[in-house]
This record gives sequence, C-alpha cells and structure tokens, in this order.
Amino acid sequence: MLTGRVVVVAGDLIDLAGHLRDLGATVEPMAPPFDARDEVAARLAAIADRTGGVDVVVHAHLELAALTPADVTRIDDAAWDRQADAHLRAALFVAQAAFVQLRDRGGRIVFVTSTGGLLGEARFVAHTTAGEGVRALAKSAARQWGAHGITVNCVAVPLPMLGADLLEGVEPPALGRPATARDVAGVIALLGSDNAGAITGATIPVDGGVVMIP
Amino acid sequence: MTLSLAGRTLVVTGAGDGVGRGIAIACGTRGAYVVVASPRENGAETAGLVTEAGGTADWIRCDVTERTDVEAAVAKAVAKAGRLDAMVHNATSRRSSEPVRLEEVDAELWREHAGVSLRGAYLCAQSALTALRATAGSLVLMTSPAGMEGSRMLPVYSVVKGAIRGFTKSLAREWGPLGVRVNAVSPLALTPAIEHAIEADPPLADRLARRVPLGRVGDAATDVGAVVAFLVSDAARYITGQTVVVDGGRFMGL
Repeated sequence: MLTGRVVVVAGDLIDLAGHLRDLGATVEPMAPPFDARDEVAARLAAIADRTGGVDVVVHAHLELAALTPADVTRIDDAAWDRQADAHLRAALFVAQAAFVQLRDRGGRIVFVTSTGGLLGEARFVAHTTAGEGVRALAKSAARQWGAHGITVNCVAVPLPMLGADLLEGVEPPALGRPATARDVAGVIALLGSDNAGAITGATIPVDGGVVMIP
Repeated sequence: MTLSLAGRTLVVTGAGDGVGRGIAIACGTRGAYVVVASPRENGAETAGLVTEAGGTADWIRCDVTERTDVEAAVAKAVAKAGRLDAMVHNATSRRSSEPVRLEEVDAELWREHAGVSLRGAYLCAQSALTALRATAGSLVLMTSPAGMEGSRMLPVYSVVKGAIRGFTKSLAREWGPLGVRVNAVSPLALTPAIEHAIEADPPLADRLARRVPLGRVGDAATDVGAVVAFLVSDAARYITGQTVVVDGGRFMGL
C-alpha cells in the first residue's frame, strides 16, 4: 500500500520504521528531540529535499519518563512540564513542520497515541493528558488543513506495547491476543494509502479489541 | 428542587467573569462559601454578586500558573471555613477565543494556553488533594466541545481542552480509591467572549442557537453553574471520570 511513498517517522518506540519498510514504504526516521519549532521544520525540510517530497508524517514520539507510573500529586513541576507539556509541544511542532511540506501537495499526518487517554489510567495522568491533547490536535488540524488535501488521524496503541506497566489488570483483547507493532504499522499504512482518503480526524484503537469507542 | 450546598466550600478559578462567575453564583446561592480565584479585580465583583444573591464569597488574587497563588486559594478556604469540598478549575488563557492558524502557533502562544489550562490543572490537583481527601470532595475541570470534536478556529484551545479530559479520566482513576471524585464539564453559555463575538458578527447569535436543539445559548449561572453545583454535591457521589456536557444538546457525539 505504501510502495513509492516517503514516510517520515518522528520518534519510534516500537520499530514502526522497520515494519513500514516491510510494507513497501521509503522510511525516513527522525530522532527526538522535537522541542524547537524551527529546528524540527528544518530537519523535515532537509528530508523532503533529499527524497523529493514527503507523503506521510508519523508522529510516534512519546516521553519515556511519562511511561513510568507515578502519582500526579507526587511528581514535580519539571516532570509535569516534561511529561505533559513537552509531549504536546513536540506533537505541535512536528505537525507544523509536516504542514509546510504537505500544504501544496497534500498528504497524511498520523499521530501514534496510547489507548490510556481514551480510558483514563491511574498513575499515567501526565501521559494521558498529553494523549487526549494530541487527539484534539489531530481533529483541529484535520479541520484546518483538510482544504490542503491533508488528512490527520490518530492510531491508539495499548500502553503495555510502549513498555508501560499498568497497575490494574486490563481487559483481555477480544481477539485473544495483544496487538503488535506490525498491526499498528498496518493501520498506519492504510491511513497513508489512497484507500483512506476520506478518513480524517479519526482515532483508531489498534489493541485487539479492548477499547471500543462509544 | 434546588440542591443545598450549605456548609460546603469551593474554590473556583477564573471566576472573575463568564462561566466561572456563573458557577460561583450558582454555588453561592445554594449556600456554599466560595473562594473566587481570579487574577483581576473582576473577582471582587463576582464575590459581590455572590453576596448580593445571598451567598458568602471572597475574592483572592490568583494566577493559576503560580503554585503559591493556587495554594493560597486553598489555604483561604480552609482558614475561613475549615474545609474544602470542591476545587473547580475553570480558568483559561485570556487568548482562548482568539482565532489562530495552527501553523502559526509559536511556543509563546502555546505556553499561554497550556500554562493556565494544564499547568493550572496540575497545580489545582496538587494543592487541593489533602483538603479534598478530608471531605471526600471533588475536583471539577471545565472542558469544551472543541476538546472533543476539534476546532477549525480555535485549535490550541481545543488541544488544551482535549487534554483536560485525559487529565480528568486518569485522575479520577487515581483518586477514586482516596474517595475524591474528578469530573469535567463541557458548557455552552453566554460569556463575555461569546458576547463580543456576537457584537462583531450579529447573525452569529442565530447561527449558534440554530445548532442547539434547545434553541438557545445557556446561562452561565442557571444552566451551567447549576450542574456544577450538582456535581460537587453528595447527589453526584457516584459520578467520577465523566464529561458532563451542558450545552442544550449541541454536542451528542460521546
């Protein structure tokens, strides 16, 4: 589905790059940090120059510290800024950099978030605050940038896939097995393909059937 | 039937005008003591309106991005009434209703929004927990339809309001075992911001009302404040982690 497409993967905890290559994409990884707007834009512009144009930008960056469980009343201000605010700023800056590359040619932006934000997760308040913020960012970007032929969607993956230990047991997946990074890459490939041209502002949980959005 | 909040104490952030003022008045007239937290003198006006309506209120100058200010607001409630039953985080950036293109948002505009809404939420939670545990109280955070369906005009506002829902759900799970409830409210009410927008574009009033099944834009005190008063009362003791949409039926997508 992604043959001939240039897919930039910004931040990557679960080797999406490898799986997307298997699916035919030309993958260009971008490593963190994503904390300076102009610098992120310049790096993505350089990739676009080198590859002849970007088709899909995947924001899969997550703040690692936010994946370690902690009571929000016991973290300090620096941790809050890092885990909630910096995550959202990174998503914003990557989306803005993507817009510059896609505004004239159209394209796809995909945010990888966790299903924790959909359900709420004790001891992951900062992470899920950022996660729900990213989902709103995707919806607003979808509404503003739709006229440029840009779709913006979210793929929500289970927290344990990202290495987070959950305090409470989770509901077993309806499919009887946990989702894998390959499953996630498959949905990103769909969203990056022509088949998904009318999907925008959506969140697709890829978790084997745990979260079922009301 | 009107719920009584006699003997209860609340802190309401951003209570200088708009929805926050409506919440303060609604809770105050039901008998609660309200600490009106606002960075500006309009907080004193709100406190005056609560008193005029038969309630008790004090204004405290409070910038929710400053830990010491938020702690002082909680301390004020505890010092004067001996207890805190609810913290209502309603404050948003003064630039909330300023339309912006997402590609033009810079770090400074982001900081203004996230500082008041998100860092403010975090500071409200940290500052109020001890007092709320003592009363089996609750935290209420204001979200918005923009947070649930995105916004073409107000994308940054939508991000922080979406984020508030993530905060609400996770904190409700975290604090449930402590006996403290956490809920979000998504209001539609006539506020100074909406009044300005209508002044600039009079047909907006009609367009807004047409999108509301109940046919009118709500009132901050009698429509929205009344629901917040319910949420912080014992009648809502089994409600936590929810987003209560108080908008005349405009948004039904949950």
